[in-house]
Amino acid sequence: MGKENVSSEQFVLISYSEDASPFEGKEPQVVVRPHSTEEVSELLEFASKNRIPVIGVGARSSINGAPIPRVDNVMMIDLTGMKDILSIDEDVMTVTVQAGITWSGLIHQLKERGYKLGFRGPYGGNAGTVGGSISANSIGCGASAHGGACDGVVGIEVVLSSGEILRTGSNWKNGSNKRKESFARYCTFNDLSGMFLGDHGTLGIKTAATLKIYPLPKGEAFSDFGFSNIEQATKAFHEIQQSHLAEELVMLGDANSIDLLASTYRSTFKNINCIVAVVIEEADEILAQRRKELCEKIVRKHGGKSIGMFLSKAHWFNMFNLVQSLFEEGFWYNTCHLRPISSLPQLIETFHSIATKYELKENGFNWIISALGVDHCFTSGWITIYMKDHTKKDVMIEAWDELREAEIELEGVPYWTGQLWEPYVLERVDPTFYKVLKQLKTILDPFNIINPMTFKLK
Amino acid sequence: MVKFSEVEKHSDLIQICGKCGDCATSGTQLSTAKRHVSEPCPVKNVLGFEAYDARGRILILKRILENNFKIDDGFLNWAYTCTECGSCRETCLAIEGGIDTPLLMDALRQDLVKNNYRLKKHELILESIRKHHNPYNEPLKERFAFLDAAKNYFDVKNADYILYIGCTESYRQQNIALATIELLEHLGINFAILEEENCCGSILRRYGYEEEFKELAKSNLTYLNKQTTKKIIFPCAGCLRTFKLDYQDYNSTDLQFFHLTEFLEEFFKTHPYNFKLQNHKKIGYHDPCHLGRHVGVYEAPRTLLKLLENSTFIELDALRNYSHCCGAGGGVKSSNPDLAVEIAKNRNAEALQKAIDILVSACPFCERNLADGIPENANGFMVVDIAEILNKTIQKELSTEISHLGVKSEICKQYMKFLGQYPEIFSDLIPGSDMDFAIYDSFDDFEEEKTMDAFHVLRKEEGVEIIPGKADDADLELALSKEAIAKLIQTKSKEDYATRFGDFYNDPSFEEGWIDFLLHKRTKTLIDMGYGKFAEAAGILEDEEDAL
Repeated sequence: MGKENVSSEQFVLISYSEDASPFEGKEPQVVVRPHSTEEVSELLEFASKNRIPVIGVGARSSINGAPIPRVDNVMMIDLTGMKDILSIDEDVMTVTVQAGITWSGLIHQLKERGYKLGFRGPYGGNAGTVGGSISANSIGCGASAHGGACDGVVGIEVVLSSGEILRTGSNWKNGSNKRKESFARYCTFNDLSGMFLGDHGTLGIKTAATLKIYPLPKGEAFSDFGFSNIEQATKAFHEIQQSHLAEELVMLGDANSIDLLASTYRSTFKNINCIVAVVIEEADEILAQRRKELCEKIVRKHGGKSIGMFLSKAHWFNMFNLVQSLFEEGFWYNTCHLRPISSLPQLIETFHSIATKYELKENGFNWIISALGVDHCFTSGWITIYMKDHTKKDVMIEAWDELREAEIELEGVPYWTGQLWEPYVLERVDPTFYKVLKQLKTILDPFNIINPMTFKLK
Repeated sequence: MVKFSEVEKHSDLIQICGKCGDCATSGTQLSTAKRHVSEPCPVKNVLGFEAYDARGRILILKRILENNFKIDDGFLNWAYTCTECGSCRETCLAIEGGIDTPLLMDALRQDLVKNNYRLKKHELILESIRKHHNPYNEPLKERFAFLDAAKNYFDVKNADYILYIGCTESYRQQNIALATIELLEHLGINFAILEEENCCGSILRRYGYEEEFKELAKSNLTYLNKQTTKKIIFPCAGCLRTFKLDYQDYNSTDLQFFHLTEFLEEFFKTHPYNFKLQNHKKIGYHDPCHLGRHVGVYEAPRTLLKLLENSTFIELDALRNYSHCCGAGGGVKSSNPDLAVEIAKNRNAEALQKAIDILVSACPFCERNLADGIPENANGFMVVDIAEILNKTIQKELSTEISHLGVKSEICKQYMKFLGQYPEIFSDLIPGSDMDFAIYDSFDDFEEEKTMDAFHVLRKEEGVEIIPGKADDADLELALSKEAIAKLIQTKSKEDYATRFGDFYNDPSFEEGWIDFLLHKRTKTLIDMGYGKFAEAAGILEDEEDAL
């Protein structure tokens, strides 16, 4: 690999000791930067023989604490040097990429060829990598029409703890390493891709992935809809997602959130307390406009009104540059998860009671409540609390804990886990489910060297 | 115990970082601003590890403030690997203007010096400046030995301008100094050089020698203030940045500092000249960090290069405030010369990928370092300074005055005239607001960023100023089709104009006309500046029907 790609200098180790969450963990003992699958394979073979714990990481832009080492003496494998597009197959409409490519880089290169992705990346997709997102079940741009990061996967290449290289999906054939053969995920045998997707890097290290691509849209439409209350907004949001009309369907769930992101709306229109923003992409303008009309009809039925397109356009064209401007409100404590759409009003009511109980506003905190239509017909619930005054950290931690407890009790399911959700999910996991997960870990990683302690599997 | 009192002063900046990683590994960014950000840290792009980009540096500084850190040689070397180019700051959206990591690195270097972690090579440079008034350990008396001894360049008393040559052009890049002098002479500019010109001290500040820097800054300003001429032209972007920004705390005078390109752009507005290359060449421009990101001069050099006949001007992908550094800044050229050259190789590769023949810069450090990084198989690719190429290609003075420097289309001229007649269109904006108007021949051209013509409207205390070319630091860019403009200039009132404007945005049509916008500042900031009211008036926040 060359010594220039290996470092155990103290300052280097510190720079890899955190992700974008408030969580802290252990510094790695060494950081390595491979540039090929073969190098990753050699590293894992070496680690396996010498029982060295390893963790594979992308850009560590995650907000869940997943890519932070949990044990001592970890070799961290930084995959961001593996950032090439390996092939674009226009015949079967897939792109095969190295795991360390950023979503933004991939989107740009595809656009030049006339293609788009379905799921475009998490909201941190400027830096976020494909490998990181499919390991952590990311949700984000394009999820309303296409599902989350893992839903766009056709096949993966993963290095096992032994150093062996596994290729999944239609690449199962003996000696197969041709990208052309990666065109179908569900075929011939069990879906081995699914075993590794969302594994938080516990079963192997993903080095490449094949994703679905689509032609660039020739018609687009945007609409923002205002509602006086969350019940009406939720009904409209639900029906639009049920009808599969939107490429992206977003909700700002209370007046505070609107004021934080688009204050002009509340000064322009009276009695707007929730906004639903719709982004439509279609094969031509007429189809896009027709979908928009259908959305408008649904909105009117549920008591909403059209208020322009500023937010939906800004949201879509600022794709990965939305959350950063909120850093000024303080450091973020998020509670991202999935839930049935119908449960949104109860969630928001619960949050508001927590906000009152802990006097969040009075204590200088701020928050944003948003939701995104996901996949077939559910939503992500994103309530993020911002803490400016670090002397109030105790209050924040209490409120944050209580919110996560409430969210998971009120039908919520985290899409990613990490340190953010692990304590909450492990005390609720079904024993049989967990037993099978542990057995898989034992088979695939007998010496427990890959991302040890995550999910407390061994 | 080591005290990091200077870093401590900026702990708020360290705390505000959300660790999103945009400054670290970002691919090309997607946004309405068409941010040309791609892998912004030139040092990380060479050395690879997170520690070298802004997020990594901030994490390390955070640990330093927790007093849980051992200073060793590796760390000291790391502290001087940042070129302080500011690309990370431009990329960062956490606060308006971005988290200023170069400021944090300056603070760290000051703390290191205060705590006696002084590197020998830096001490030698300090000694050279004290002894010879230059960092190159060259004799003071040789400073202007390259000048034509038969001419008197030092008659400052009778000059309109002072030409501040700088140490690098005096001792290393004399080709730039000579080209600048020859060009100014050709143009008939009445300038003079300071006989006792001194080092500006930039390198001292970059290395953390703050006390020594202050002393030098005050002495230089005292000397300059004694001169009757108050207008100073710098061909060196580094010196300009130092005088204009770093001396700010000590400069309460009426001294005016210009970069050569700023001066020439103004001059050619009223004294148009012809410039012609003998053989057709593809010309690219490398934005020096000191001139572009730090001082905000982007348009002047581009305007000048576009005057070159028999050439095609090609923009690099990473340009203007998102330009990649050449690698020489922040003292890296002298502290880590190999690293500097590797960074230059990356920048040259960007130009070669675009098949550029001549990469032009406007800073001697950039020219030197980029030239050091030209690969062997570059097929005649060359790096030159803007003074050199202008001096080599200048032809003759044109007799007719250019009324709209750079504006080509009639529709653009009509639109500029129209907006000048209706300044009330901009009445909601706060003074200082500056917006670009870019006119496009087609939507495809907009997608490919091929502007037909551009101007910007600067809101002043009273009224507006309409200026050809894009602003150096526009709040946003309005993109308009020529069809939309043809209809907008028919309107007779602000209300009518706003309504039509909103129609073209809300209901765009390739045939009838369309308007779009690219935001260069954060939405919240723009709303506060009055653009929100403009959007309301334009019906961009449209109330279709009151259904409630």
